[in-house]
Amino acid sequence: MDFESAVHGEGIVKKYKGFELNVPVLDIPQGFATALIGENGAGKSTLLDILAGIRLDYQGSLKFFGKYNDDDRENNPDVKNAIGYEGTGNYYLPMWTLKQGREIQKLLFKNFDESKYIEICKQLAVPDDESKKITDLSDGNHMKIKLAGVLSRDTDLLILDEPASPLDPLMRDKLCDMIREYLQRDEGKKSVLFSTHNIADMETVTDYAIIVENGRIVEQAFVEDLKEKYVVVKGEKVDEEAARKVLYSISSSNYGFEGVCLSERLNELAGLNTVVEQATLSQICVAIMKQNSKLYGVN
Amino acid sequence: MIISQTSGVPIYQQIADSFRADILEGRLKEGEYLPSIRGLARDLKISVITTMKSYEMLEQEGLVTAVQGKGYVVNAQDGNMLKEQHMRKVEEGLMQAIGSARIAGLSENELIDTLKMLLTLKEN
Amino acid sequence: MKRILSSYKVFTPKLYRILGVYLGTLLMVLVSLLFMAMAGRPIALLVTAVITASADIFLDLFVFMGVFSKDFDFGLLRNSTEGLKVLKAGVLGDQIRRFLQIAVVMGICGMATYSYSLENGFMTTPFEYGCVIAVLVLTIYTCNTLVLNFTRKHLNYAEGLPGQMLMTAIEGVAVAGVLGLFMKEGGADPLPLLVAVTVLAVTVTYCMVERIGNRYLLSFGGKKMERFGKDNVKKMVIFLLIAFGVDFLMMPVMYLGFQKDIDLSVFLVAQMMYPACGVVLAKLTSYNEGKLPKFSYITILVTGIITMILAVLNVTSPATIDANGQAMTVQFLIANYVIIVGTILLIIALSVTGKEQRENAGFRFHNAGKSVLFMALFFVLYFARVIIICIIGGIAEGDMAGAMSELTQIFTAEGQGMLWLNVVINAPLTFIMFLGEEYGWRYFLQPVMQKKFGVLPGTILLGIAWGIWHVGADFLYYSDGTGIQMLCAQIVTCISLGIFFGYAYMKTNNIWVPVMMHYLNNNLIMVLSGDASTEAMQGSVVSWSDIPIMIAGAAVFWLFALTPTMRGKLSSKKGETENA
Repeated sequence: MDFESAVHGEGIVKKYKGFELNVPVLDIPQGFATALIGENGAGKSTLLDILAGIRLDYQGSLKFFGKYNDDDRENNPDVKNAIGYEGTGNYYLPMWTLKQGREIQKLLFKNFDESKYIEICKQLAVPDDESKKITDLSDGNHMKIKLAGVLSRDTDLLILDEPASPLDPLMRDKLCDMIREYLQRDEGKKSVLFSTHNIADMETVTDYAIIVENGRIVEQAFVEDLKEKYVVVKGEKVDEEAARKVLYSISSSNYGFEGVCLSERLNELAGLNTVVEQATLSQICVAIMKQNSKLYGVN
Repeated sequence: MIISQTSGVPIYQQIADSFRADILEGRLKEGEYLPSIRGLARDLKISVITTMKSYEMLEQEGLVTAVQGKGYVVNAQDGNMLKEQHMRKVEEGLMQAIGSARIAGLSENELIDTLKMLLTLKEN
Repeated sequence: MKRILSSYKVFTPKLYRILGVYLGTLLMVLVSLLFMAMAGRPIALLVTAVITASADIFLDLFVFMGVFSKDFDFGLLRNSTEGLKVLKAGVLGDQIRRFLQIAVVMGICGMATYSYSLENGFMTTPFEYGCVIAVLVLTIYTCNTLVLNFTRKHLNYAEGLPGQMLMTAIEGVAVAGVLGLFMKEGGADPLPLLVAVTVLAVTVTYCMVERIGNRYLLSFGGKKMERFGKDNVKKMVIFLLIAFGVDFLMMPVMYLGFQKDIDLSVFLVAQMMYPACGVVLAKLTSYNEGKLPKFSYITILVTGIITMILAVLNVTSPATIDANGQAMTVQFLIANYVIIVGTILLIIALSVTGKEQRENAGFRFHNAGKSVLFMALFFVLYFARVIIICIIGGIAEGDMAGAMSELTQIFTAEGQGMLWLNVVINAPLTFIMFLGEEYGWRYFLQPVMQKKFGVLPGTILLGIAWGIWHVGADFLYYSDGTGIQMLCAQIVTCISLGIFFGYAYMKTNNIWVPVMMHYLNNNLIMVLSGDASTEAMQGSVVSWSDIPIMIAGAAVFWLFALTPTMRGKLSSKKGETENA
């Protein structure tokens, strides 16, 4: 499918001791929610930090909204303000209260909508008592105020690093709703990029998936295209060996096997007693990660 | 509109089916717009790309047309064209039936008899 | 409200911390001058460079306290145009700070050069001297700024060690170059080259200490911070820096006084306050301590600071007065009054402090009955030790009757009554000093050591550390030419007392028990020696053969190492409080 890129990157490289993030081409589609999926330590946060300008020490070129490069992002307030970033770190000094946390956002961001912030906080059930210290909040509540902060700014691109992991299931659902609401705000103009290591929670909001493994992008496509490319196959124990040769990934139990198969190779399974089902995004991700992970690579 | 996550039918298919029925049965009239893609995604709690795919499906079938910057508008439903489309579907299904009959080794008459039998069954 | 934003700029909302940095720097300059005047020039330069750099890191610690307390992230600032301005202002502030520090170091180097060249007929006018210093500072500052900006842009400021190393190198070369340039005009004398090399060495030493220190303390956003960001690690570092760092820093000053043959008693008074000051600062700067008794803490802190200043003044401007036939410095006299005032203030502070605060600070008088029993037990054991030592001494010298009469003298000799009365009266007037030590050793360090190394090994290691902490006093005060023996004796005593104090503290959970014991231990010496003056403790000659006798005498305390409490594992309750 053709699409416009909210972010386009070329030759992004960042080296650490014993780790290298290397992304020859990167495209974040405009108007959609993109999930950056990978294990812990796969390089998700590093990539997000590079895109958001939290890190400046990388090689490669970036283009935002089709016309601005990364210098514009740092020097042009319009571009800087159009990108909302939420990381996993601790943004507030330890002695600050919730009230001061709110006020600092007003000072820092010209496009911050305070009434919206208060409304989102209410929706997310952030504690009412604004004299409470931010340090004393639970991880979940801490994430909520950070999300409220980034969502109440008028931005065109949201970059969220593991927004779902500290939240409980109810709040994850709320988060998904908020992302959809954000995407709808300016039909087709706003984009969201978030990272997650647990895609199941965010599956219903993900439009485009980028799967990262060990610093490399191993698969990227629209979710519906992925679901056409990969299908789930289930079968009896007797057919397992024959299926193993064809399937992309397979896991077996005492009663049978289940695996993910590339659609183009489905005809090779003809003659076996199998059931073919549509795959979920998490099944596809697990299969791809299994194939590419160092950990599983040994088997 | 009822969307089932577990029915086995892809969600985009379910959405397309629902709108198709609305259009063919006249509940959505010519010139009316389908709900906005992201608005519908939000209401149904599904992803944008799924909604988009079902709209594109309807567009391919000629039921709607994409209007730049405005969304998808319902087309005038030409009787002949509709019939032609349905004809294509019928042919597709029958081709599949013929294929299966070949594998099963059915003769031409046997196949026709089966079809007749099924038709009488359905009518009753 | 703008204040919130500016608090990001300096990473602390408290003005006094910033002022502290510059006052601290000023203090370092004074110390440097002291060294310059009293010790040899090249050595003093190197020492000064190390001290200044260490002090710099130490002071940074306070400025960046807010950043240290948690793994702090600059994501929010970097994501905002206003935030970037704040960050740039922060970097600018950092540069100004560096500028001042460099000015200080360069000033010291320049002074050395100046005083050297005076003798050689070069840079004789203040104008020439000023020009040299100005050129130096500007060169350094320019290099600093250029490299800092470069590293910020290309290497990411947070990970700028390569950049910092580069900066160090450039600074060093620049100093050497500029000085070399001026020196050359001095003539063919090879000595200027020597000075230039010394200055280069000083700068490089300074920069290395500062940069490497900063690498660990200031690489904000860096993952290295995570470990230090943990509150208990931070508290431990602050405690050690003050209890041991200040203690060791004061030793050279003490040595200068020793050389000038000044009475050093005030140093011992000041020294006793450092551990408590360390704990107080560590707890006050921590963010998860609950309510603390601010009044009591400030009293301890102020007492510590005043006595420390008095100790420095004791050497820089000694004034001796005659007190009942004994030479005493004015500073020591004042320090005694400070201690008395401090103790009285502490009593008032404790009596007006709420239970919760006292509990959080470990000041509550738990287990009163058991506590009194333990104090009495210590009194008995103390004299048991004295008796054992006397008997062994008697056997060794073959004069049992003489040893025995010496023993009875303690109670019967003329004037002893007054000394006993002294011990009783002084207790409520001076106990802040003993809290000063015990609050650090027993309350703060003991649980940590016991948790890390096990109950008994931890207690013994604490004793060794406590002994070593006395090293300055052992060499320069207590003994006369037998410092090593004195230090060994000190460590033996500290381990023995440490075991008993530790045992008593574990049993009673009452800090006042070891405080009282410590008090008795130090003050009963006057009764034993029949001398109320500080001379009782000074200039003893300790021989190696005394140490086994001391160990034998201390056996009464060593016995407590065999108790189940000491041999067992740490009870879970203690462990938990430490974790929290």
